[in-house]
Amino acid sequence: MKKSFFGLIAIAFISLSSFTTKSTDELVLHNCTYNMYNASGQFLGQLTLYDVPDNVSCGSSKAKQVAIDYWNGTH
Amino acid sequence: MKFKILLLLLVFSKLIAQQNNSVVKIQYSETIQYIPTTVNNYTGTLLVQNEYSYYVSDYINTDKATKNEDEEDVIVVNTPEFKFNGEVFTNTKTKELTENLYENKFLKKSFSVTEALPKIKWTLLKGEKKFNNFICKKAKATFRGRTYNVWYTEKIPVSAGPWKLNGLPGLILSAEDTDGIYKWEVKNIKYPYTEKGLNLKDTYSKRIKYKKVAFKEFDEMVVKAIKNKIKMISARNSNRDGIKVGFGYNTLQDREPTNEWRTQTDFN
Repeated sequence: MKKSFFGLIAIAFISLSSFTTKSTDELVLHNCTYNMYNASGQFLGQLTLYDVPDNVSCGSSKAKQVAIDYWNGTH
Repeated sequence: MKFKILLLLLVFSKLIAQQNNSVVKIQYSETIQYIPTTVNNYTGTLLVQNEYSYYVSDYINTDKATKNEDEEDVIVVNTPEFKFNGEVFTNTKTKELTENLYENKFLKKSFSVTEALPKIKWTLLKGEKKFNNFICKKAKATFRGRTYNVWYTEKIPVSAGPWKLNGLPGLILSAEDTDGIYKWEVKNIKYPYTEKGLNLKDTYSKRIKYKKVAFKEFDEMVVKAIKNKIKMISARNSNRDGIKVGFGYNTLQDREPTNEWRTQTDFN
């Protein structure tokens, strides 16, 4: 009985670790959505950046600058 | 005797003429608060003369409580400042309304947008409140996707109000939409108002100087421009960083989020 119980725990541990482990060269991406406003607080639209590298957070000036560049490039 | 009668008739006709030419001037404190931290202040002025009314909104300033651009999902972009908040002319005889406006988001042009005087279906509510010594009654209506609570006074039997709000048995002294974005409150009233040479008919014909377009057509132009922008941004996908971009827009903050011809508010 004890053996089967520990066996179950082991299986659970292995399956869980397979979800969290990622190879070091695997690139994890995420999306960032920004509400764009003008100085009056008027909503101008919603800009979404897709496939942003995981090491670039949405609130970072780098990500926001990319969004602003896109915005300026289309206005 | 004949002369006296003639004189009386003359005075009487003059009085009638003055009554017909009765004018109201009301100034409102107008605020537009798109987001909680930013309040845009305007002075709204409404003039009513016979069948004509003219409403103009003049920018004063913008109050900012905090910088909302520090929020992670917010970007404030520099756009050319636009201080012109529009003006509305109505003619109750011809049942026409013209709004002169500057579309600052997609078309970036000024237009004279014409339409039939909107028939707003008001519900008269219980309750009384005093504004500038005028006892006012309450009413509520949903107009083009926005619900307004207003206070009007029957002491000034003029079926007008700020912007396009009209159709009550008295002048609207206070109005606010239930989202808390658009708000008007009376600052001062001059009734009857006398101004030498005031002729709203003339003002009306002189002020129409922008491209004239019907309301439905104008709305279609804006929607087309929104869709074009969505297409244009997605066509520019995959920049130097390999990042793709998408654009979406909703009309929920607009003065008229929906209308008789369009119920769609989200565009992606």
